[in-house]
Amino acid sequence: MTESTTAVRQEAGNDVVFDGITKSFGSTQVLQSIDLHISSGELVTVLGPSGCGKTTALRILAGFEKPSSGRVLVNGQDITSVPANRRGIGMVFQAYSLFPNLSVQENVEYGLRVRRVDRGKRAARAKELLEMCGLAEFASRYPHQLSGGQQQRVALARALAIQPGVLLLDEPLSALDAIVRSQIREEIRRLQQQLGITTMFVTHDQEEALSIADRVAVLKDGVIEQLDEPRTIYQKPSTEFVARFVGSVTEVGATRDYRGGALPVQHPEAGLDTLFVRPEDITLVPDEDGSCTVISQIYTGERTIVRATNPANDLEVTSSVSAVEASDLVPGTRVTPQVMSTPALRVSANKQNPAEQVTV
Amino acid sequence: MSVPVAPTPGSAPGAPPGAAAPGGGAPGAPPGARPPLLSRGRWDGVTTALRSPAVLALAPLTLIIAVFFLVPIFGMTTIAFAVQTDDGGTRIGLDNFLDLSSHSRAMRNSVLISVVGSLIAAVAGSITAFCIAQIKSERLDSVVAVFSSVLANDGGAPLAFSFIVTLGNTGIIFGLLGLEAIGFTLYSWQGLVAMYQYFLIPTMIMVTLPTFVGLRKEWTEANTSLGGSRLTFWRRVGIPIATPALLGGWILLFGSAFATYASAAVLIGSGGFPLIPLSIDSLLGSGLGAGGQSTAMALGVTMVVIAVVVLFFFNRLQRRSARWLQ
Repeated sequence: MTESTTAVRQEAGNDVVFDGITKSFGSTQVLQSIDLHISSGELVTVLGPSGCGKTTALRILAGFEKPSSGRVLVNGQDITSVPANRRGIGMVFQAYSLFPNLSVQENVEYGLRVRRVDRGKRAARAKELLEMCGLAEFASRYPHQLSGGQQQRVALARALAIQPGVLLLDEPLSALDAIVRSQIREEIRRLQQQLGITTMFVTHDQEEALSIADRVAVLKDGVIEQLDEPRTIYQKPSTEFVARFVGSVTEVGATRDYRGGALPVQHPEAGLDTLFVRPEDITLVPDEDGSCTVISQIYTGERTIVRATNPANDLEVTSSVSAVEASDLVPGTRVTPQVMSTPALRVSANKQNPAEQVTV
Repeated sequence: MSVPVAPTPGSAPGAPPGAAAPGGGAPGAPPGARPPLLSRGRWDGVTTALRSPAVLALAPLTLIIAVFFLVPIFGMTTIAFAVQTDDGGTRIGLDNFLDLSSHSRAMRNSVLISVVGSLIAAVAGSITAFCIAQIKSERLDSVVAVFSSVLANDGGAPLAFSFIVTLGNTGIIFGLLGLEAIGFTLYSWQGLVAMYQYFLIPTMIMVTLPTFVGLRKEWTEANTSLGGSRLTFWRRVGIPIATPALLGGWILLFGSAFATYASAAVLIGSGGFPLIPLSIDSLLGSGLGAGGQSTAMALGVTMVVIAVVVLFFFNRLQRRSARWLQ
């Protein structure tokens, strides 16, 4: 019964530290010195394109991969050399991870069964979790009788059943369709906050990353480019990569003496600073002598995304406008684009140091 | 020329005729939600399909099934159930089957060899397939699949000849290993079992390899993150998932060994060690006339029944594990 007491002792609320973690597979360096502190009860999403090392980082915390160097700490304890099955970390995989020969209830009870929790307690805990995840009536079904969304809910209930100190989610929504995806995303967030469980959520979907997280870590080529709250990531990206990868931007040229405010859009040429401007910070003013032509409108419901180009210099401008404004901006309209307010990021023309930023 | 009688998965005589028709089930119906086999709903799609001109595409298959399967079965069944009456006429009866008691030794031998041979091959083949799957090389998997399907169909007189020159009384390996000292002889039931392994083990590998390859990494990792050891995984997940395929494979091997004729005929002849297929041969070749022929047909019908039953269970078990592994 010692194992069951361990399970109970692993209360939610452990902080996680990646301390100088590197990882190489052969000659390929996948992670280059990752330092990341996830506070107790916090949900951090790790966002990045495929191959950026985000899944490797998660698997190192889970214990499925050994770091080449560095330490992983949970609740102050170095767990780098603790085997994966003794870490007490809950994990939800991309898809198809439920045991196909076991019913939903048996799947949820699995971790408790391994811990030799007695039958009555097991069943009670499974019932509680299935109710929490809205699956009470599916307890006796088998995984192949469930939809993809239901399967992922069961996988979540199964991971939570062992009262893990840390919850890991490896692109758990990527195999689901859009509506189910946002439903389950909200459920994951609700449960995570309710249980106060420290969570690492890996995804390549920026909307998902921003909407669910306390903080977002943007990863590129094994390096954390930025770690901030979702709002800051979007409004104040710290690098060109983050600006381009999260949300869409228009790159605009500006002279060194530009100090914010309205600005006619010009092509980012050599010698000019580059401004990275969000669609909502750009307007398109219909103008018969305008340099650009509207090429497309994408209706997204509340807003319409309008794209315009200047064929002379390949300038491409993206603006987000209301439905009323969109009616004046049908494809073919000549327009003059203008930056309306402070750009998200400004990169100095001094190419020797492209990361240098000029305070706007 | 010898015709191998062994039922292979490609020529399963146990499959219902309707299974060959396109749209055998209701279109779009999820697997597992099919109406019962004998209900009207199950065959609706078939009747619709049969009314379409596309049915012409089935003509070659229908012809082959009719000439090589339905006609012989019909003929065999008619003769097997026809009984000569005293006044020279015929009636339908089970008398030919009652005569089979004199062939009980052949039946016992056939069952013995098939059970022992298929059990050994099932164990050896599934362990081999398991080990191959652990290497996790897609190329190796496909090479093994090709080789094992070739070997699985490699029976008949050439196989028996190969065994005679290697393991026969003057065989090379027989001499090298000094098998005479331990009393082994190829011309015994142990010899037959040994020879059958040559095609039974590849059959087992062919049938179970996809199952072992299909065990997902996510399942082992989920087991680990939930606190389970490797042993826990195999006990609670791995083996239960593989069981239908293993049992199904074993049943298929049983049927295959049971129906083997040519290699056994070359090795044993029709002498000291009767088997059902060999008895059929000797009955047909003997001068017993119509009486011998009727008994042979009754034996044949018995074999068909056993093969159909075996393939029915094989099919069921395969379908179950296929659903788990999809």
